[in-house]
Amino acid sequence: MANRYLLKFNTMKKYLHLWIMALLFMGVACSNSDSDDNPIENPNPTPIPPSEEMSNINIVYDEFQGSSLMIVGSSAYYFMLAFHPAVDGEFMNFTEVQDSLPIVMKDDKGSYWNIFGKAVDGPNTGKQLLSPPSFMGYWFSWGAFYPGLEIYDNSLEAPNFGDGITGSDGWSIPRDDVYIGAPKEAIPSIDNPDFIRIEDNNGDPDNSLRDRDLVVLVNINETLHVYPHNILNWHEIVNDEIDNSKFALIFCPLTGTSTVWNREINNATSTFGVSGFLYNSNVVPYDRVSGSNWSQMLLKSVNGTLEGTLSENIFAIETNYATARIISKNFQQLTTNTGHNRDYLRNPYGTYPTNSVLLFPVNFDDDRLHPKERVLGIIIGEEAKAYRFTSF
Amino acid sequence: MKISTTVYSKRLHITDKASDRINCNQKSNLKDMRYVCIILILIVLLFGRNTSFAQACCTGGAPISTNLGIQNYASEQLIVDLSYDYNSLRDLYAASQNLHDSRRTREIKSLFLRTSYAINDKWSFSVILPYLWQEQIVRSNFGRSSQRTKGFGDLVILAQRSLINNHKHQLLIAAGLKFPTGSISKKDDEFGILLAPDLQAGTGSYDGIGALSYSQFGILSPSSTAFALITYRYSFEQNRNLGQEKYRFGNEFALNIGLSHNIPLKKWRLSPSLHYRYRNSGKDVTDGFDFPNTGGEWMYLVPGFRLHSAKGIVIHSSIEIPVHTNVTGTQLVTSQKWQIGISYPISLKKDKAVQSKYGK
Repeated sequence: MANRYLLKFNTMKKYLHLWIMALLFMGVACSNSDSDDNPIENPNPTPIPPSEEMSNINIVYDEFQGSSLMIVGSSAYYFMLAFHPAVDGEFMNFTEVQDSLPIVMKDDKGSYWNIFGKAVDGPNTGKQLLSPPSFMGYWFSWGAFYPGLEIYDNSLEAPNFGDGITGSDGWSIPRDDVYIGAPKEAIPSIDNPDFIRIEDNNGDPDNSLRDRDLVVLVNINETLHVYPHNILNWHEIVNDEIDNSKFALIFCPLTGTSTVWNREINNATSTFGVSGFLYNSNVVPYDRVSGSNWSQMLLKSVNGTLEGTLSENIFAIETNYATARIISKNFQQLTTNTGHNRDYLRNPYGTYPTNSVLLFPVNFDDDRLHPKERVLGIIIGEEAKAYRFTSF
Repeated sequence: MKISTTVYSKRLHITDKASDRINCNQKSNLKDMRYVCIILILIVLLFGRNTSFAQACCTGGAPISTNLGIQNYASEQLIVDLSYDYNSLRDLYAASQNLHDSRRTREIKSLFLRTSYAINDKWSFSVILPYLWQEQIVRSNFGRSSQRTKGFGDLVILAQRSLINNHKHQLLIAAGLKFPTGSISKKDDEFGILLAPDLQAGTGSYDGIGALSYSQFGILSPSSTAFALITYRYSFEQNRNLGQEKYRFGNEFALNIGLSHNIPLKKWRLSPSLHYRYRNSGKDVTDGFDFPNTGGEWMYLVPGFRLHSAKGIVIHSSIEIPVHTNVTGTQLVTSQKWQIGISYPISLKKDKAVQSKYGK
């Protein structure tokens, strides 16, 4: 019996190194298995317009903080926009115009208005509707910045979050609630944006977008710039200019919010960069002239010499690429020629836009809606109100 | 490399007496073999089952995994090893593609004080205390910005057992715990804002660490040794960002396979070595979801040497040359890494013998 064991032992010993090597390689092979991507569907994914005929545009009238509001939206075309329904101080009634994008509505005097809030035909031709500060974003961010905010046409009771927040340590927001997402300027803004005319984009794969890809539209003096989210995800800020109008498009991939700010601040032209700070998981841009830090969703400077200064907002539209191409056949699209080498076909945040996880803490957690449902928020004074695609 | 040279030194001391001991302990060795096989299989199964692997390059704390070399120690010997590790991250990768973006760099300098004590031929214990200096720099058209931190990192305590140790083979197993002793509350100099977790000196989490080392002596020539080492680190969940979110660094697996050779010099012995190193890091997980841009796999060629003095002092050094990188998302990866250290043995056996002879 002892000899048998001895024989076994010697045999095993002889091939021990082979055993171990084999097991080690098995370990490596097993370790290559990728982890799950946590594919949780957003309840409100970006839809593709099935066809222009099937798409409806709806107008909702509302009152908020003493202001009359008109929200023009379409879940199929994937846009929601807010306007004050008044021209030269005179309140007007608007009705939807279907299947005529960029025309979206008609006033009671027979003028036709486009999606940018400009009358393009009729007695009011050339007039421009004013828009309150408003932009799209993930629900959680609106709940975090404007605790207990009202949701239009929604019976869910708002949670009571108690007292609001106060600033500290030289910030008008609690400094301890500011987090570092990346070092300053580690996320490079685009400071010399390059554009391609849509008709000149002959299937260049780097600059080809899918119908459902989200884009931001800025229209100044009939020049339309289109900024794809897949580029903004990597840069967050584009310092741009149209017809001597200098502005910065600020995009936060973590809150899904896009705002466009005038870069002329206190008679100085500035540019914005990514400070790397996050407040309520939202980008904190800084202006490079004063070095002041700003909160995108509060629309003001929150730290530095310009603390308290409000941003001067420029109207922008967020929609999908299919709708952008229906709105205009002649826009200029931001290209991937950004001066930086990035994989623009990939979202650096993976499944973040559709899953329910937040990467950084927020002050208030409002679970009335899915955290990544995209809603339109309208800010008047210190208050905000949210509008859902389900209302359109 | 630590293993290979230790193995060599151990091998030199193997005598006929040692061979006799092996024969006497055949039954014990047979049990050890079974034990080892079971452990290996369990480790492999664990790797297979765990789909969340290891951390990325920048997860905070000291690079423990690369400094976990285990070796056999002579009984009742105390080894003090001081090593300096320099890691420069200058290459931005998207998956396996170098983006050639040099705007952002990072340097991690670590000092490791490792104290090991072997209580007998089988068992030894090690305590590793790291001290780190980290700096992250961004150079842009708008100036240079940096964030830096320094401080003691997480303490590691390892228990090690020699399972097989003869003139042909050596098998060592080690297990231990990393304690969250390093600071995770360092703030930036300019604004006093909490630095990102990956720049903190500690990780804030307890980690389980395991290592298995195998060496075969005289594999190509009488003075050469083939060796393999696998290390595994399992990270436990921690509360990140002042306790507001649950975070778990990915687990990490590393495999080293290589060869070393011994060259006798006049008063010294030189042991050059070359090994292949594979490291697999799983994605970090926050609140149950993968954290973007974490995890990946890295492969290196690691040339190095150990220089042994007659008094047992060992000077050791190595360089890690990246040969393959494949990260999840986009990450800054190691472009240059080297280490140098010195270890000094203190035998406590003699003192004990003297004590025994002359009484207390």
